[in-house]
Amino acid sequence: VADEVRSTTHALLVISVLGALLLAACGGDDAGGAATDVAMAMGTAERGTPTAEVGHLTIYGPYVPAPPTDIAALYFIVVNEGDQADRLIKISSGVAGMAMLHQTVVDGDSSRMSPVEGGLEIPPGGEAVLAPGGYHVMLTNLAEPLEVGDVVHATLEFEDAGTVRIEAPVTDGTGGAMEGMSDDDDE
Amino acid sequence: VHSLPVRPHSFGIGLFALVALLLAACGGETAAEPTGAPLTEGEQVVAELGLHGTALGPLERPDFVLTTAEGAAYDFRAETAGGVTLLYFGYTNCPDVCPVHFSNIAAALAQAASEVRRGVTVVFVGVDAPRDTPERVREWLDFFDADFVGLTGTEAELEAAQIAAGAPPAFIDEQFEGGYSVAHAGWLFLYTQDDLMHLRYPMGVRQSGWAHDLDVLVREGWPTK
Repeated sequence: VADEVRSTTHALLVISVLGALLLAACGGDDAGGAATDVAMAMGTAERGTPTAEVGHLTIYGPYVPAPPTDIAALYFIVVNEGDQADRLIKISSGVAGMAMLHQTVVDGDSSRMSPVEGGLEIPPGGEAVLAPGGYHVMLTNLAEPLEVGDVVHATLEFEDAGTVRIEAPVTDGTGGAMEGMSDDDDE
Repeated sequence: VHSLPVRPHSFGIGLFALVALLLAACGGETAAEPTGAPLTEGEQVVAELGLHGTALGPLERPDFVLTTAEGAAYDFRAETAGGVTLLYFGYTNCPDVCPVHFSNIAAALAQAASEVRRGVTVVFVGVDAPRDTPERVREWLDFFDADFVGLTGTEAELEAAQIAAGAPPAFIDEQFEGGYSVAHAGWLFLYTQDDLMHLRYPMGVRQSGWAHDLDVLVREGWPTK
């Protein structure tokens, strides 16, 4: 009996240690699941400040990380408080020769851009999140270099709600979206 | 006496079920984690040290030669041997993930202790041969940190480097809507002082994550068992 008790105790110990280890792994690590995690985390992105409204749509927290060259990305969140889906179908900006809605997709170990066919849907009562690693507006052929503190004006066109102008500050590229990308504990 | 072994046994099952339950709950948040599978040695180290990378079976520090943005030959393995090295295959027209990676690494290093800062070499390889000229790679990197190493090469050299590092060779799609697109490795590779890659980093690691990991790895290295 003593032997059986000892081996059972031993087994319990192994199970608890293993459990604690696995729990530590899942509690403290926001990077473990790679692409899936990023996509999931983006669903929890902080909305930031509401900056523009059109119809039932509200645009939250637009920003452009200061770009190293003449290509930049514009990010924001669109919240749909209506009961009908809408679509973001066109973006234009005076600072860029071209503004296109793209998605960064991960295929296995490879990352690439993909066009967003037919616009980006904003579901009723839901939101569309443009954030690093997912949907973004690519601004190319910039007329002038963008620096922290500049403001990018852009016009968003929605299928039903119509058009709205937004102002996106140029930020330093490390904060903003990254802070909203994962909800793990801070060290 | 006969009933004694039964109780701790069922207690054990109860505990097992509890652990399984907690793991299932946790699995919902990190869907890509294979729940229930035993942790590899690398995954245990990641958990113990609280690292933000993803463990993989170690790969050797790769052997390839490219050209620096300044025009000198750069033997990656010889130049970086024995140190902590971050290697990224990107391109300078990358609007989304590349600048985010580099902004966060640069910000973490700018605030790191000088020992840590000196102990990390960051290497960016421009895989878009036609457009990633030495000047453009230098301009792109200087925006983040002038100490970062920028490498270019011919298409054949670039492909050889990516294969040596175990990265999927970049593919350029010239027919892409509104210009062109580059499919490239989505991971950042990290080599430690033992000249192995135990970890690679996905998009989405924050500045605080880099600061923590680079500090731990420069000061302590990858633990040997």
